[in-house]
Amino acid sequence: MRRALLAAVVVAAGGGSTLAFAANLNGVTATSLTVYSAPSTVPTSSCSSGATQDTWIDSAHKNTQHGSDAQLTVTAGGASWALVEFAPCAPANAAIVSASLNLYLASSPGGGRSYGAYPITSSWSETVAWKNAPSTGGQSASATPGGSGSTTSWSLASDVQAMVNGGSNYGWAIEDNGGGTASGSYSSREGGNPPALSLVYYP
Amino acid sequence: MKRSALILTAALALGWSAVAFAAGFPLVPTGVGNAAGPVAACDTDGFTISYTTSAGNVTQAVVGGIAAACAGGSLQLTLTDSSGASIGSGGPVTVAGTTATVPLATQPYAGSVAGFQVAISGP
Repeated sequence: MRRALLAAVVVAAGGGSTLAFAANLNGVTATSLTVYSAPSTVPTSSCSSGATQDTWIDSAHKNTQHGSDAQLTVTAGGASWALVEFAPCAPANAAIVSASLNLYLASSPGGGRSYGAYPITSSWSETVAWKNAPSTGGQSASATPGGSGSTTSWSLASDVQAMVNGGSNYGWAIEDNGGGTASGSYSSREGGNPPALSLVYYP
Repeated sequence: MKRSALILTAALALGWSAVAFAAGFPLVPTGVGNAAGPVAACDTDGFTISYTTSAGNVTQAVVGGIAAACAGGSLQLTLTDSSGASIGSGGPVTVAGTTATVPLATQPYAGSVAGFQVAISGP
């Protein structure tokens, strides 16, 4: 006649639980088994990088370059755009959890504006002017500028994921999606509160 | 040998269900025993874990805090999602110190990991 006995001890430990088992079969004690389970998450990494280049372009002055200006001016009706480009600080092929483009608003355009971030799809430099503006794609994100001294943030995880996966990276154009004449100005990398691209990711 | 393996398989199956059962019970020592007396876990204070990721997927884990009594045991690791379902696993690896590095055969997205289970058979 075969007879098996199992013995168990359960002990709570550090947010998990441990069990131990042993078996006796026909008088022969078998190997024990220790089992432990606990909640756990994989920690994310984070980093922030400054703009590698930025400027703004003005339809009213088609030949004027603003690459050395301390502010980036965005004007309603698409009259002027800010251009910013970064080298994302996450490693190649990292899984981007969040990506936030942060611009410090030195001068507010007033309430109720919608500023869009549009991926730039052709190369440019800080010597660019309106007459040779780079091309842009569809809007990736929009944000509402607050008061002067606040930070405007755009969530651009999808765009940055494509960049770290080896896609093209020419940065973003910031444009006012509404009409009128309102203007807002952001600090450029030459200003006191330079643009930043903040990432949270899994390497 | 084969008999022991069968017993271990049964114990493992019972063990996983007992883990879920025990989750709400802080301490449940039983009086069940056999001819050899009550059993004791080779490690009773739990384990730590750290992860290595690549392209956002967990490729390897290091299980730490392993008691010396577990040396020579066979360790298997399972990663679970928020529902408790298995989403990745690795091992068996032989315990040879206070830590064990476990490459994962199934490599889940890091953001999906909500828990882990360690099973050490033997020593």
